[in-house]
Amino acid sequence: MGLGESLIKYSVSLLLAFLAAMIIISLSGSDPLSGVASIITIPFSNPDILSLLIQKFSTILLMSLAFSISLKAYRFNVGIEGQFLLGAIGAAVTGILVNAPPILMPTLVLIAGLSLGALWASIPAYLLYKFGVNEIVSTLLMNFISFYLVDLIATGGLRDTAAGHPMTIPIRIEAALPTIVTSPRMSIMPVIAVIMVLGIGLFLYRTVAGYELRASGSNKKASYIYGINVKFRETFSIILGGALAGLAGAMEVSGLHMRLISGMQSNYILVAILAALLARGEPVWLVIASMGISVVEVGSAALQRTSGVPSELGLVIEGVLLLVILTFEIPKFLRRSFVKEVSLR
Amino acid sequence: MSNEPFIRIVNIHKNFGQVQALKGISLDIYSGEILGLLGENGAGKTTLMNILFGLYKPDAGEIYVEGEKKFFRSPSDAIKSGIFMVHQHFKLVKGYTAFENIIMGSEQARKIYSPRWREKLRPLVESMIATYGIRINLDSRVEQLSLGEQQRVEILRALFRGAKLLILDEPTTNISPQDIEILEKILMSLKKAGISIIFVSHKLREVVSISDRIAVLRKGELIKIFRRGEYEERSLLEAMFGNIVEALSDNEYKYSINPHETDREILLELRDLSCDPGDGGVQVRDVNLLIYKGEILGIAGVAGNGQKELAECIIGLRKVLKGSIIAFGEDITHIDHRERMRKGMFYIPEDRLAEGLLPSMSVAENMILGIHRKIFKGFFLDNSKINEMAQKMIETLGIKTSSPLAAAGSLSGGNIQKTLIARAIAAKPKILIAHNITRGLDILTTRSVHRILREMCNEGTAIILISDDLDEVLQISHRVSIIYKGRLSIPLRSEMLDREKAVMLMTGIENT
Repeated sequence: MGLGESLIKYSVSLLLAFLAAMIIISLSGSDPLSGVASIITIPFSNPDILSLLIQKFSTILLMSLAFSISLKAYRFNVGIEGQFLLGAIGAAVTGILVNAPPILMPTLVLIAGLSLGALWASIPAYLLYKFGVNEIVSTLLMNFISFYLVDLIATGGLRDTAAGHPMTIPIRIEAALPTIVTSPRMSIMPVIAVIMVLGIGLFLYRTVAGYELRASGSNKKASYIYGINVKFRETFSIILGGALAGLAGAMEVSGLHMRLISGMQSNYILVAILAALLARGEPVWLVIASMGISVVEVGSAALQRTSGVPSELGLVIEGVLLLVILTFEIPKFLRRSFVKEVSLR
Repeated sequence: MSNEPFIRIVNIHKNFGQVQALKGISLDIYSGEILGLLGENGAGKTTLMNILFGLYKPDAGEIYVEGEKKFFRSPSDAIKSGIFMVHQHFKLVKGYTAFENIIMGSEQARKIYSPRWREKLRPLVESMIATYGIRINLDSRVEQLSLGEQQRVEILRALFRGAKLLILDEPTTNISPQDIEILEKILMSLKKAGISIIFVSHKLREVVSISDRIAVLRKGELIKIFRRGEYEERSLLEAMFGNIVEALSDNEYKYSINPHETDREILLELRDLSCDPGDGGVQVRDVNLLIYKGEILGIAGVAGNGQKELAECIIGLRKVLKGSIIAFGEDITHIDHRERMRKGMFYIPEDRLAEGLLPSMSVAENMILGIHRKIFKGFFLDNSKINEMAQKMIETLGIKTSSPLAAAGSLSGGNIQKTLIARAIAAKPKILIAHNITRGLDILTTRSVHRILREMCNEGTAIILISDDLDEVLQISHRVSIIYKGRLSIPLRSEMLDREKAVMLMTGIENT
């Protein structure tokens, strides 16, 4: 498959996705063309919304990276949502309660989030390693536990009684992430996310551990025969994903909300998995996929405010995009495996 | 033989992407004849048969059945015209009896609306069996049958549906020599009944012994059709391989290994070894074997006599029940396979796709699997060294790939095998266990693989070559042992073991 072929495939998919969007926009009584145009242009229209876009992008990028890393080992960590929330809890509690030298605080907060996310992921990872419990089920169920843990903390001792919605009191000022732009305020979130992408890319493609992780995902049995500890690599990929998702949660607490808020996980899990599947878990493509999805998310939310089109429109576009691309893939896969079977006789 | 052919294939073309698989093939098949379709791997035999059976659509050309032009959209169209294919890997439904498999989904079964439909069909099947003289226990479940018997069920299934043409794809690959004899008798009686048979194979000897006519394909072209008794074997070989027959003469080949040059240093010793059969495996029992430095020890046998179990036991993927394994003067019976590989053992498994290949990773990355922990530059994998090494392997082994970075899953079967062999070369093992490494490869590729094995053993590697192909084992091994029902015969120098004796041992007619 050449680059040209993929280009055509992705363009057709995009076209169909936006066509679906136009139908929905016109059904809700707006002009479809200008509606679609504004989804794409609004996110770049003023500094405030641009900064919102970049923040979304940073979180989605980290979350999709978290999912991708286990995808590369052919494991499906759908618990990135719970790991994100545990990271947020770790960051909030540390940021409120710990009184360390100011210069250390942001780092401490991030490390707390990262470790708690990894710890949360290590439970299903251990179950997989020890008892072969399917990680799709266990990680998903762990998400539900995490929702209630957030509520427990956001309505418990650290509750902000002045707020109408369950949330904690703000973290200390010193715990906030440094900013790169002051007005509108933009923390170093995107920098962290991009560094992580580079780091994980380097890890996957240039280190022995990364090689073994990808080999395990490519052919479990062959990897085992040739001396790779497949179970360990699979487990590791889930825990590493948990750490990244936890980092994303901590980043949102200390770089955006400044507190733990019930429901702050938003629909990140959904769009992150979409981005990871679109990019097939390849770090470089993740940047592009995450950016595209962030634009659609921010754009469709803005469209709801201006013309009342439901913001779920964003999900429709992303969903159609993925469906069409997967449909392109399926016949190719079938054809190829059949030809291979015949030609090997 | 009537003058009007049953099937007429006219000027069939088929391309797969850039590759021209068939370049205008025309072929007639008459009623009641056995047509041998001979050619190397990749000559286009299977592609042509898949077109005739409706699995592929030809790019150009026509198919006539009894003078009538036909378009086969799927195998069910071909079956309606009386064309059946028995694949190399049988397609029977497990858990059902031979009888049930024969009647399953047939027209006759569909017409009977009675709860006792099985009983009503039984006499039909039994009389059919009697007509063609095929012996089979109808009430055995498929998994209880040997592969040879399963093949007979496949043939009966086709006959029950009124087959007029039977395509047998590599029918002798997986079955025992006795089953091959039975198959030949069955084919003769089918021929007498006016049924046509296409016998697809790359095994010259079998095709010659049974076919009325032999069509030889080479590189997608029909080279020549030979009539029984009207040709010399040599011209057949030339049609198959072109002018390279000379270079392929077996004699020169055999003596390229000097059997007296082996070093007498023992690298591996198996003492009274019995292996865990696992789930449905063959019980390997009481194996005693010495393997010397720089020798090729061949283990021949009919597939499914414990070859895989023995190989896995030696490399450490399977548990030892009794006895011990001593390698490099050290008892390694209870050491895991990782540690054994670290000590210098290496394994090329039989099932190259399921157990060997990393399909989504690059050719270069595939070649370093197993030794990847040794190729460092500082903290990172040394990619330039890996790619350089891969490039060298690609050139010496003649692997056809666009680049070392291409996905290994996109390679053809032969090139995948060469990639796995490159992996073994790169590992520089002291002991190599290789199982069916030339299966499905064409003669030239096979030969280059043999040359590689020879070079490795010249450098001191001890090679355990396990193969279903007796001739291969006899040709390139220093010593040969035969495996039958999990037991090994005493290894003999290959020039001391004649082919007939080996066949007797392989089939259990003679004991050691």
